[in-house]
Amino acid sequence: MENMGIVITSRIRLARNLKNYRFPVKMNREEGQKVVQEVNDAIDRTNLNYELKNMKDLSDVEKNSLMENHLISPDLAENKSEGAVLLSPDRKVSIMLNEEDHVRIQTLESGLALNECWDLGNKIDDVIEESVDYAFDRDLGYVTSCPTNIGTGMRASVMIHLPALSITNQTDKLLYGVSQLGVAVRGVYGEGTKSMGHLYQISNQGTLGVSEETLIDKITQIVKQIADKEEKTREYLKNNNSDELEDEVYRAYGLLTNAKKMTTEEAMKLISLIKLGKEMKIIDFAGNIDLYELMTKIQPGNLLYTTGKEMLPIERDKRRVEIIKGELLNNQTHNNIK
Amino acid sequence: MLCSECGKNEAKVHVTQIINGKKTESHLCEECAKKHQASFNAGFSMESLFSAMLNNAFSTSAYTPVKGCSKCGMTYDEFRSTGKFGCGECIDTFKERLMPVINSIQGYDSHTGKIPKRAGGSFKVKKDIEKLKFQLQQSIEKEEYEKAAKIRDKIREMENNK
Repeated sequence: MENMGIVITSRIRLARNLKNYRFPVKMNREEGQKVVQEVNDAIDRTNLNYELKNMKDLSDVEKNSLMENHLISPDLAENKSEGAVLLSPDRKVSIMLNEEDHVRIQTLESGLALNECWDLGNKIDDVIEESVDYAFDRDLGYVTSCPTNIGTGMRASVMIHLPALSITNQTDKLLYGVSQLGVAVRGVYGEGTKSMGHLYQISNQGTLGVSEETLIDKITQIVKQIADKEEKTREYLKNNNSDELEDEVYRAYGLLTNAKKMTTEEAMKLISLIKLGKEMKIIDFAGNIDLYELMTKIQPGNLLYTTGKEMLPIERDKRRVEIIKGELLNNQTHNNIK
Repeated sequence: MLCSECGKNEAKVHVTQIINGKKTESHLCEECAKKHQASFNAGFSMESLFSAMLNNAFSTSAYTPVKGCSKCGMTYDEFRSTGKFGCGECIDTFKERLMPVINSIQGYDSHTGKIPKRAGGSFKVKKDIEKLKFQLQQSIEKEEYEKAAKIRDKIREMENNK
């Protein structure tokens, strides 16, 4: 299952607040600056070598790019006062400062690896706590700005790619069922629950009364079951509908390598199909092409950031196809399409 | 039955939610249900439900507002509209009112996860002892007396070092 590319990334977020300062909704600039300084100092005392970026010093383009790479949240990007982020050199850890809470530690790993994310986040949490006093309530645990995060302050989420379930119109039913288990499902990149590129995020709803390990275990089990359903559906399509499926994948390849311009939404859908084709060995690629990374690269903010200049939407749509085409043709093999 | 939100009209929409095995029921009149329709359609959103319940808990007539949080100045009204704490002490200020709401949203009323070393301090030891006492009880029930004796010794040791 791990090799199928269904589970893309795992992420843990821990929300914390400093006891001695008012929370972001109430604090003034000076307090905000002190929070940034205290946490930055705590990290600096180690040899972690994190990079501090203050939101007020960043351009919109840079902020959008950080957002599309899931290193900061839309809320932090819009933060007009003392929002900041600390980034680890490998970008696996990002610590958002003065977002909804003073501190939000986020860790990222590829594949299904919530335990590894928790180990890493837990360590960073300990490092910070050596120098600051967290707001903690004996009954209710870590005090967060919003009572919906109180307790562990933890959100464990996994990004999964479900093209086969989407093509066969099974996602709505499945995801509705999953949401009955106290688990939230939302689309990635899309608005609300709408999904782009058949990517979905599964995360825990509750944060109180259950230990971090138990929550992680629960999400892991649920994700495994969904991935298993996706795998079985792929198997079914291969055995019963292979002409149809191959046609879809080849058409997607044809469009992506020949079109002149393309919107994010269309490109996401087509790359998703190519990704499915690659994983089901319908299409063969030379080298280590990372199609999920390609999906990230062609987001509007990242396009602007890597191109380094302002572009009109039509120019962006053209640039998007150039990037995709380049990537696909660079990894072409002789018998790319059987 | 009257609407559990406005308390004025007859409840016609009945919503049952089971979160983490805890069942919550709300009975709404057509008007109040309409207000919630967006959130029903979009699936269950914890934040939206929370602020609705919060409003409900804080607007009961039995409740008379007193002064807000002494540390950050957050008033009840402010808390009601933002749904966010202004500082670490707000939780004590609003706890009494908040507990039923937290309980029904989260399905639990006490933290069982990580405890910070510094802020937790002796509290962590207390929780650990509670855990061990539970294990001791289990060992005795299973008649694993050797194991029980070891746990008992450990509890003694921890209590002496407290």
